[in-house]
Amino acid sequence: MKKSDRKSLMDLFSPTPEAGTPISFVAATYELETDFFMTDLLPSMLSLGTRRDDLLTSPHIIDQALRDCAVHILLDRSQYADARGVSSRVDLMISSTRVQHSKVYLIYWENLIRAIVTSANLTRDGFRKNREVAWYIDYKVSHSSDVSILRNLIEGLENITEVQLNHDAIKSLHLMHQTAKDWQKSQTKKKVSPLILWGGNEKPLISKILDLWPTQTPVKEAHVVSPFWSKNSGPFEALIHGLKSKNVQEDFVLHLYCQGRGDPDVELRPVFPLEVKRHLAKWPLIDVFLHSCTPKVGSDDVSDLFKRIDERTDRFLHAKVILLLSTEITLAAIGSANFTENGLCRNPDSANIELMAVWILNGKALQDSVIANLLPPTLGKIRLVDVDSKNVFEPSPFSEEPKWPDFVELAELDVTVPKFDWKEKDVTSKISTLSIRYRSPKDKNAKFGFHLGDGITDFLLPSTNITRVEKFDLDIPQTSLLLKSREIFIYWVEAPNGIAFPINLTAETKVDLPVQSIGHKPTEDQLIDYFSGWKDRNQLLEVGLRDPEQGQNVTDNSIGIDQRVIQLYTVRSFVECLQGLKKQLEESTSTDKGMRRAFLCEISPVALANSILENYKQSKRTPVAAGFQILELMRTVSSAKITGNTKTKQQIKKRCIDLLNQIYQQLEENANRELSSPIFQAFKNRLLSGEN
Amino acid sequence: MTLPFLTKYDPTEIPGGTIDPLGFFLPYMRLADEWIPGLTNAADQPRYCSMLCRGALIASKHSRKQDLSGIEDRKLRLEIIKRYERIWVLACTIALGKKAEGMGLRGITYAQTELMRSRARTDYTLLGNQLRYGAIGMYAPMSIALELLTKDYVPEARGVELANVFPFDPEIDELAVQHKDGSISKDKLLEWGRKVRVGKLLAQEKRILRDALNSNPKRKIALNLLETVPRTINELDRLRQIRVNLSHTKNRTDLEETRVKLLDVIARFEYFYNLSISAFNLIRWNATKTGSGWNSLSPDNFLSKQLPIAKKSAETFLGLKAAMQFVFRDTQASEIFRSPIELAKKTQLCSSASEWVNILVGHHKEVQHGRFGESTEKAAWLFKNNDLVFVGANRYKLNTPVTSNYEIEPHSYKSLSADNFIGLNLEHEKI
Repeated sequence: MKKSDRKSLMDLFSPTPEAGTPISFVAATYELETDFFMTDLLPSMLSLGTRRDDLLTSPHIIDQALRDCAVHILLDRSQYADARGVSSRVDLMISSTRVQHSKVYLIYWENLIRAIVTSANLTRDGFRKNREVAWYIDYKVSHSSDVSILRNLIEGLENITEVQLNHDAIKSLHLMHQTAKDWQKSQTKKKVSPLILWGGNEKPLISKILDLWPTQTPVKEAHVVSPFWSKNSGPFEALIHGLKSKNVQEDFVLHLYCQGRGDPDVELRPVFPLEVKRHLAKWPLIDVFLHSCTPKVGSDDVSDLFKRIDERTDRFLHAKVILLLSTEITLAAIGSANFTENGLCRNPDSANIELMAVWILNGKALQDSVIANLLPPTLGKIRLVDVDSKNVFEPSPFSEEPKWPDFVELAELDVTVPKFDWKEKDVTSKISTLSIRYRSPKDKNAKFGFHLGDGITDFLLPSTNITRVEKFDLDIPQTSLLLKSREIFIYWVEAPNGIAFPINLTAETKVDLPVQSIGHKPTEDQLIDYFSGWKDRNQLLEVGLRDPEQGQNVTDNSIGIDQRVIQLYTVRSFVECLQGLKKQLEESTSTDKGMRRAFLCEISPVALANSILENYKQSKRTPVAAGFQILELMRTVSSAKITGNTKTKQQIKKRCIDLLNQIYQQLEENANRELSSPIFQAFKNRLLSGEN
Repeated sequence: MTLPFLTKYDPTEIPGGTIDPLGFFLPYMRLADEWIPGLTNAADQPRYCSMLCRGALIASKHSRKQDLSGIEDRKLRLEIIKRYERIWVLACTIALGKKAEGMGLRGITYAQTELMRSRARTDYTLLGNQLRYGAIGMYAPMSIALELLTKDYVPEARGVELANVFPFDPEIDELAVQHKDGSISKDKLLEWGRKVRVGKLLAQEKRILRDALNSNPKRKIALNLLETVPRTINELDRLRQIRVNLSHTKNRTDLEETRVKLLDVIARFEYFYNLSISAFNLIRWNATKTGSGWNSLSPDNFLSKQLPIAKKSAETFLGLKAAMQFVFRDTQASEIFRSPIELAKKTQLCSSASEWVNILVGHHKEVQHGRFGESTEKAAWLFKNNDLVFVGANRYKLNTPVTSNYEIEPHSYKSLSADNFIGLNLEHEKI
């Protein structure tokens, strides 16, 4: 492979033209950055356009696109704080007992399943800036790719992290696997496929990797690329003893690639723990070199002949690679594991959950290709024996793990009222069930439980010797609060005030969920405000959540204000919002999906027309005013210009106008007398013919 | 077979990436750098260099006393330079009053806000990222190219000289090296600001800067030539005039000969750019106007009228390939100019306005998809479906009609900045 064939990770997440619509995405990552994930990665994967393209018009469109695409993310407990605020439709599953450090991304589009093994977390730097390592495999209709790789990845996710995956995630994984099997037309061709190795089970990951090295084959050179290094001798001892057990002598050259710090135009010094020098002195036959990897963006990093971004120095090394080379044979391991005790050497009970893809390759050409593609550019190397405190930087110590309720595995909310239609219900009605899967913490005698963060609601969890699921019925205010916060606060003896823990929504709840966390369908006033630009989506959320708590709709007039005055104001606001509505509709037409959502879903002219009809039925609107509004909506939709006027887009627009027409007809059926008056008919004809 | 790979760099904010629909920007950058190496269009206030050298001088004097490790030392020096810049921007802002805006002072609104306090602090926030967008980010690369500073921001001999003729004030110097929480009275700022404000240059500063500029033969010749033609005409005409003057010079040196050829390339490159981009913008305007797709088969007088001129311009541009090779000897001219050359080849053979639309939209797509050196694929502004042309997203719409190619701004070849540096556009004082 030429260096120019390298891709950025964003490229791998952008669907090919044939890929079709996204169906599911399952990811294991150490870290997730909400802003990057919601505004950059997901839109790209969902074919809605990326931040770079500026095609994205409205966050609610992403949220609605997620309705058709199941997204499940498994991440490490220490990183939950950064992942708060993702869409309610995204499941967050947290590793409760061990460090979840593997990075694997499985994307299922209608006609393409892509599995990506990498060192990159779901962060902007990981996907756009860092020097990461990656490998991917595609499964398309009639493919001949090796399905066992996908199976290994899925089984690893299920078995190693079994307790954290929820039912929906497992369902998505199984569907992916089955589809890849169904699509396979012929037997896997003889290709160079990697072996998938998970760390965190049976035996240390390094031993599993070295087991693949052929016995008695001398190692000429070993190359290790890692951003982090243990201070102790563990990983080095494991490497050397592992090779010894295969009758390989310890007289090879060991190259260690570290992050370089300093001025990349002058001199870089490796970030490396000096203490390792003392440990490695035990093996004098091994010649060790430290290489400083440059943070400078080089010409190999971009396909830019003009080197105009050469001055940038924000490429940090985050790739993890182990290469063992003999004259002809190459072992290449890439993935998530740093060259640390936790990453490679520990026994199952305390090891990180890691994932490495390992190749055993024969031949010089492949060896050269792998070397060219996996070893990062460096500036200067130094023999380890010559290293002292003046020519290396000591790495910063690892930060301490935050407290985490490791006795809780999952929390899931199921809203039991269909379509979130709780307007008419008493506030004390139980409308949802919260399920907690847990076992007792170590100190079983101290009380433990959770609260909702409102200072009022507190639930105790009963003591248990086995893993069990406890269910709690919640009323309207509690449900509203959870839909908004999407987290509960678990307390136990070590954290008496509680630690935030994410809750996921059940698949059924997600289907009914209208727009992100609003908790009910937006009202006419809210839609008008939204289209007028007076409210952003978050304000919509604030108002939306107050309604059920008060047991009434914000637009209800139960305090004796003259309805006609309200109507006057509403209709005036309505007219003012039409311009904004038209703009939003036009902006959404870059993609079919975006357009379908903007024209037909919860925040759309159809939704607004329905709420107008509803208000008419509740005598909050005169028939003429309601008729005027719906006709104006029809005119606005008709006049909205479409980018790329394809057949599908024309159909969407037509469908929208048809639906508005149907709503108008319903109104007409109820108010025929008023709407059939000659004056109104003349108005209608003029409006629909495009005259003012 | 897919083997694992190290990932590509793919930041979202690569500058210039979205303002270059036809792939002329990178060749332009190479031409501009070949014409006046080291200077930039954005850094056009020479006083910044003097201030930067003064800041760097006091920083390196102070840091020498501290005996710090390499990285700590650099950090401390940067801190002092940044603090010195902050005080200087305050001084310039107060001294210039209402005139401060439009003088190329970076972070003026931050300084104005700080000046609302009774005493201004020395550690107020100046710019979102002072290092990147302030004096160091914008003027240090140029100061390094002019050999005023080293890459570590230590003044070179000429930089020390410049720092010493800059009207420094020992009290301000002391304040800049002082650690945090310093403050300064407005009276003091005003007093110093009158001497050091941006837009002014002492005769000695001018001499030192001119020497620095002349240290590079390409720069020297360009600056000397710029002085020979009036500044009242537009830049391209000025370059054309220079080319004419130069071509009449007898016994031209090799370097002068290269300048003649370079100016030929610039003139024809800009002309071809002008015609191509105006046609492209017209297509954008047509597609914006119709919204639902502009039919490229429908007659467009402007395009039909411009096509023969564009073809001729493409032909003359291509005729300069030998000149390009001559100018960029050590690099591959055909690589640098790949995008305009490919467009010119297609334009040259084009037989109708609708075919020209195809060529421009197709070429634009290839540029956006990274064929000519962009690091990543970007969405096209325009796309075609059968004969209909659409605008990809709202931001790519053109909201004003295109009526002639004269409205297109040519690229800027640093003349303004060069004029400022040789003191032609500035007030200067004798000492």
